[in-house]
Amino acid sequence: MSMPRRTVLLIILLFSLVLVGCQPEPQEHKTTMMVFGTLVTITLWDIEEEKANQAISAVAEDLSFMHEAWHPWRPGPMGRMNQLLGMTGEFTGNISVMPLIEKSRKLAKQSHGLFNPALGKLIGLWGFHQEDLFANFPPSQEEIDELLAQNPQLSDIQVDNVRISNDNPAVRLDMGAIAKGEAVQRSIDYLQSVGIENAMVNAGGDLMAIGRHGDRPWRIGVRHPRKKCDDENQVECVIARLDVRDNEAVFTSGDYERYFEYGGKRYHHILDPRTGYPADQTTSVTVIHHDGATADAASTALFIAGPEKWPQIARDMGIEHVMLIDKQGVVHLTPAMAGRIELSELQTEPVIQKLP
Amino acid sequence: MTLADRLLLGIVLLIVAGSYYFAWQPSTAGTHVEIYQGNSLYKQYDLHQHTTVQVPGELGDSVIEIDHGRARFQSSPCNSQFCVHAGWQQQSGDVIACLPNGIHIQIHGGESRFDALAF
Repeated sequence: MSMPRRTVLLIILLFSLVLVGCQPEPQEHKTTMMVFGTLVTITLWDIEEEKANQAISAVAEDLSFMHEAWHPWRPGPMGRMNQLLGMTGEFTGNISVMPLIEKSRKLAKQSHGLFNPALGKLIGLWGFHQEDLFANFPPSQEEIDELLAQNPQLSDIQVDNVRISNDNPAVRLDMGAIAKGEAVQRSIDYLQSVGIENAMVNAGGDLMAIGRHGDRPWRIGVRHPRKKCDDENQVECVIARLDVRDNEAVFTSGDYERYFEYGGKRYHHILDPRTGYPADQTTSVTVIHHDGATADAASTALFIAGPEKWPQIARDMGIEHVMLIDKQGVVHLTPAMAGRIELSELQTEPVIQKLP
Repeated sequence: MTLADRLLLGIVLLIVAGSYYFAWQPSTAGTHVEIYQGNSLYKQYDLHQHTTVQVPGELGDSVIEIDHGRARFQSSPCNSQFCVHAGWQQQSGDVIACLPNGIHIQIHGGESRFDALAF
């Protein structure tokens, strides 16, 4: 007696489904550490313990180095540069900061000045350059006006090989909106250079991945800008999920990370260079891009651009994948992002916005 | 369509529906919490108990409270208080840090639904 062929196929299918549930323990190697002024999680897939540990400590060392080199006011290459920028005359730029400055120059221009790393003084006025101690009240309107009238821009700095001169004494560099992107990019580049093919580097919620997580892609949730994660149901606080493809960075800027409250109003850390105040039309922006630094700067610039102007800036910065959540809670997506992201079913219909 | 075709179609539809359902399932609860001082493991605790732990850091003691399946920073000697505001965490993969004090906690055990949370 023989069973019909379809029945046999069905039984095989059912058994293969059962087997999926009995995979061996995953070969995930996940390490979380405090470095670069944030919590960095490095996840590697299918790699020997020893090689994983070596790679992770090398990345940690690089990240500490970059943190010190690019820190705007601690003694170090960038801190020293900021001291010299306040004086007149030429000086020699430190090699560890020059490539980041050149990259920023291009992105500042593409963003129509919304990403402006020359506004270090503004960040200082607001107290956001300190890692821990925030100011408890906003700076005075006069102080803000006076600084904005001097219009500090990266283009005020002339670079001739390593000689630097500066026309504008109000220029101070703060790479806070690009440094993490560049750091994550360099970490991924390093991991690739030592032959690691499947990895994710997550620096405080901004991340970049290569390869896959075993037999599936890297999968991430995007935090809801207004719902907290500390309740029983973690689904509530995740507004969307997406799979990260090989060599993609996912960067998010939100108004809920660094802020202080004064007079019943919340003042967050993403400052609009046009007004000198926190940008107030957006609650969160997530972008996907193949370059970490570009993704980082773009998430900030699009956040500041707001729900009206962001498509123009996205186009000029070369960003195809954007999710912007405005202060009314409406989700705006580019068509490319709509094809990649899966919104929580609790969410209302998104607005699909083509780039001009 | 034969009976087997229909069965197969039904199973495929179930898998598709099921994968959507499972994709949005919450991560399973963690089973233990690891407390880190600097970047070295200070102590590890079962989450299913009630206890408080004082962890000496760079600025002073951070107090971690463990309460039947969840953990939080009860207090910490930093100005920004991000770690305290983060509240209770209980899912595998959750982390909370008091960076100025050099203390962080990680929740482990159970299954994490995402490889990372973007924020």
